[in-house]
Amino acid sequence: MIIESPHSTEQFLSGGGELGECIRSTDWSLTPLGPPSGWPQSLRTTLSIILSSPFPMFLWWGPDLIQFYNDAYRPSLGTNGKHPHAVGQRGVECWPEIWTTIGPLIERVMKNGESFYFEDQLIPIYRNGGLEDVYWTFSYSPVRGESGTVEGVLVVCNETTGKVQNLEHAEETSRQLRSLIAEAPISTAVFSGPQFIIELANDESLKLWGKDRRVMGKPVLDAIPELKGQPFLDLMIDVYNTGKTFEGRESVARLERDGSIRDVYVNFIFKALRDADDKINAILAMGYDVTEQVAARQQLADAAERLTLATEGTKMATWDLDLKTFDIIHSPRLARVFGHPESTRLSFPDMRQAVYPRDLRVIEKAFDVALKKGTYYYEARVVHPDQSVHWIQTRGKVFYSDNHIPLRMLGTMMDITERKRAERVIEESEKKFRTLADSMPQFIWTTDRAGKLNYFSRSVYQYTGIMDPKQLAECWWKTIHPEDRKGTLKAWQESQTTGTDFLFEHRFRHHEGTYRWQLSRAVPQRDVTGKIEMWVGTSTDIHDRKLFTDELENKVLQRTNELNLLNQNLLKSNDELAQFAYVASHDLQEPLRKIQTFAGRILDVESKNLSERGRDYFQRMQSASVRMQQLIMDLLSFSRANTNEKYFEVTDLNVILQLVKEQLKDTIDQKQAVILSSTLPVLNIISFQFEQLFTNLIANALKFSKTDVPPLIAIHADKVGRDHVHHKDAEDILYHRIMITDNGIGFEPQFNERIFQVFQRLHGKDEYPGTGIGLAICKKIIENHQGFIEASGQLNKGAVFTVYVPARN
Amino acid sequence: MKPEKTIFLADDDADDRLLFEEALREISGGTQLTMANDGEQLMTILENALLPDVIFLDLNMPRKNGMECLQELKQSPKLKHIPIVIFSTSTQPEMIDKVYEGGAHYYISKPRNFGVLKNIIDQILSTNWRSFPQPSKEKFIIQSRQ
Repeated sequence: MIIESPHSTEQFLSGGGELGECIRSTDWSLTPLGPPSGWPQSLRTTLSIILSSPFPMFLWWGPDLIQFYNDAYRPSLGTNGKHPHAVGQRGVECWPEIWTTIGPLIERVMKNGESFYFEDQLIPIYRNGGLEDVYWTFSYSPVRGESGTVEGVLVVCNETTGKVQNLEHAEETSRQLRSLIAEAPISTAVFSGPQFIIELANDESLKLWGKDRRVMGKPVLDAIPELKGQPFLDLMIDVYNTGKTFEGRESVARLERDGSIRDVYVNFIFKALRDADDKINAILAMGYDVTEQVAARQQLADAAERLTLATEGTKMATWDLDLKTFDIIHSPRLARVFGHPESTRLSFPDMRQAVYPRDLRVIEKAFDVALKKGTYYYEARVVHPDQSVHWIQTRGKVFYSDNHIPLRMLGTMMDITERKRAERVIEESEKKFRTLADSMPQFIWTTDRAGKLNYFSRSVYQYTGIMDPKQLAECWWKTIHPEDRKGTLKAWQESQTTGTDFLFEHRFRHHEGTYRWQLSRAVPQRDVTGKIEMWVGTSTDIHDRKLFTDELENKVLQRTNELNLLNQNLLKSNDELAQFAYVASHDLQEPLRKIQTFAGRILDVESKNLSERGRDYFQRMQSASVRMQQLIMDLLSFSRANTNEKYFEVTDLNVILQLVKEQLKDTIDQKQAVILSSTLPVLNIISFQFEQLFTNLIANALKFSKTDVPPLIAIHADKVGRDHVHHKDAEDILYHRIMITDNGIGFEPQFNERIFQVFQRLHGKDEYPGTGIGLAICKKIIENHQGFIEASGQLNKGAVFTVYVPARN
Repeated sequence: MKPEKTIFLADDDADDRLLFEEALREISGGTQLTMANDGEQLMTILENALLPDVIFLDLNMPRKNGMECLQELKQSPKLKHIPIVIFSTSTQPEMIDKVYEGGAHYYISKPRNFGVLKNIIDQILSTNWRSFPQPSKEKFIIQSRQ
């Protein structure tokens, strides 16, 4: 039990702004609630909350639903409405206009303690001097008294009229826009965002784009990929960025039509659309296909142009002559043909008067013919009033009566002065050409496009002796030497087919019966479109030159044959030489072998029976035969170095050197020789000959070593230019240089050249065995390789043998 | 004890026949040697004689040369299995290639030294010819060191 003091009665109503004041100033004793001092605690507490809340609140209290609300709620009642008398008023009295809506709800809250929540609910109320549609978001909740029963209904509410109306407005606008676009007779579309997503597009748009509804919601470039590279996207970007509307007229767009891309003419407009914040968020595109209009206009223009061309091109005048009265009716242009203004009317005699006197006969004759045969045609000159002379051409047709009396003649007339002038120019140039052609000693001829001869210069007639052009064209073929006809025909057909120049050497028969060689040449003449119109040909007498050339060729051929024969003889004698060398070496060695064998047998078996001297003789015989064997073998090698066994192969000289060192191993070991070598090149050479070369040079170095010093042989290879090759025949190329240096007994420099000659020896046979062929073989081998070999010796110091071989890539 | 062997030699050079026989006698007294003066004689002998263990064949012979003999021998079903040793002064590579292809077993170029000749004959005699195939080209030529 709480005892309220009068002071505290006032306290729960303290503050609360305008409504707090209003509640305090109300005489509550006149209401079913009675004075505030008697109000239950639950009401007081609730009121205290309501009045201090900044959120709009409203309270119905007690069975009579006496009303309270706060400042925040106040604006919802408007001016000239329910405020301020709604305070303390009974609900049913305050809200008659909506009681049918809220009454049942309030009753349910009061009776059952239910709560309700509504959003954007339309509850029209009377305010601002009239009934207004007001939207509310609100809740009804029960307020329980001390006894726990529902004593009141607390309304927490918010007027959302503005928001709802905005939304509705926007929806309506959007709906209207959509329907407008959908029904628009021209293509209309909205592209939203910077990607230009197709948000809206009416059927007309789809038709224009050549697409269906599947493009909806896609970026424009995905939807209409053919627009890539066309100016439209850039225009849209520009409009989107600047907000400036773009209008295009008869712009060509390449769009899909019936499955292929075609040129479509469009008139269109791109306009920026803005959102509520005035920011551009889309582009409205409107347009229509004007292809047909454009095409129609072009056709019309073409037709008009043709018409103009036709009339202006022909400059044709028409006339109608009455053959009985010789009255003539003519088109205005006819007057112009005679040099008068178009307004002038000319009579038949006027016209005859104007004819150039010398041509009058031509016309009269043509007229007579026309009357008989029905067609009138002439070309003649007329004299204009200014005395200038003009060519005219007239055509006419005579119309007869049923009994064949000529009645009328209808015809045309035109000025052909220009044509005549052009013809004369051509005639003159043709005349010039003929004069030129006739003055030349060469044959000049032309053919039509099919290759049929239609002109010959005078020289052809003179040469062939055929004076009639027609006959010459027919017989020309027969003037070609029978042996040359087939080739001529083939070459000519080839040129005709390919359109290339004709060029052929053949013989033509002179009228005296001899044939002379001619070089014929023809070039096609083409019209502006490149089609061949004719061929212009020439034939030049090359008889003397040809004979000279032939003779030269014959001589060359003869000389070549002679050389071949010589070559063959040479080859044969080379072969014979090789054969001889083989037979000699084989057959000479045969008896030698026997001598050696039997001498050996005697020394082996009969040694005991021989005197000391006899044994010595046998030994000398043995050594003589060994030397002879060596001689034969060396000669064989020398002859082989000469022959044509010249099989070049890429060879590593290091390998060759290794091979040679192995073959000479016994001597090297025995003499304790040292052979040093740098890396040797790989060369394209006759392999076995280089093996022989190395063998001979190294064997020489070993043989001519000093007795007291072990031989040192150094082999060095490098590449040098011509300056380093001491030979007059050296070319200006690089050479491989291979130097073989020894520390042997050497020789005197004056023998540098001589030692390469066959059988040249610098020492007695007893001192150093040898045949004097080895170095000659070396020289031969190097010559086979287009190289050079040189020796330089110093007595008792050693020798250097240098080999040069051309370095080829 | 080696089994007795029979060998044939065809050579038109009397000196070489003499040297061959002397060398053979110094190696083996028991080996039977039949000699022919040329290819024709060799083929005649072969018609009736017992087949030898090996034939030494000179190449350069009158009437029927060694190459012709070799071809005939290798074409005969009866004679084609007899091992042939070419015994010649020639050192022509073409000829060596030809007789190798013709099926000869060895190629001997006639040595200048009697001792060498003996060594070679000894080597040939001690060869077991049963299922002895033609050697490789390198081993085909028996070089006589001079």
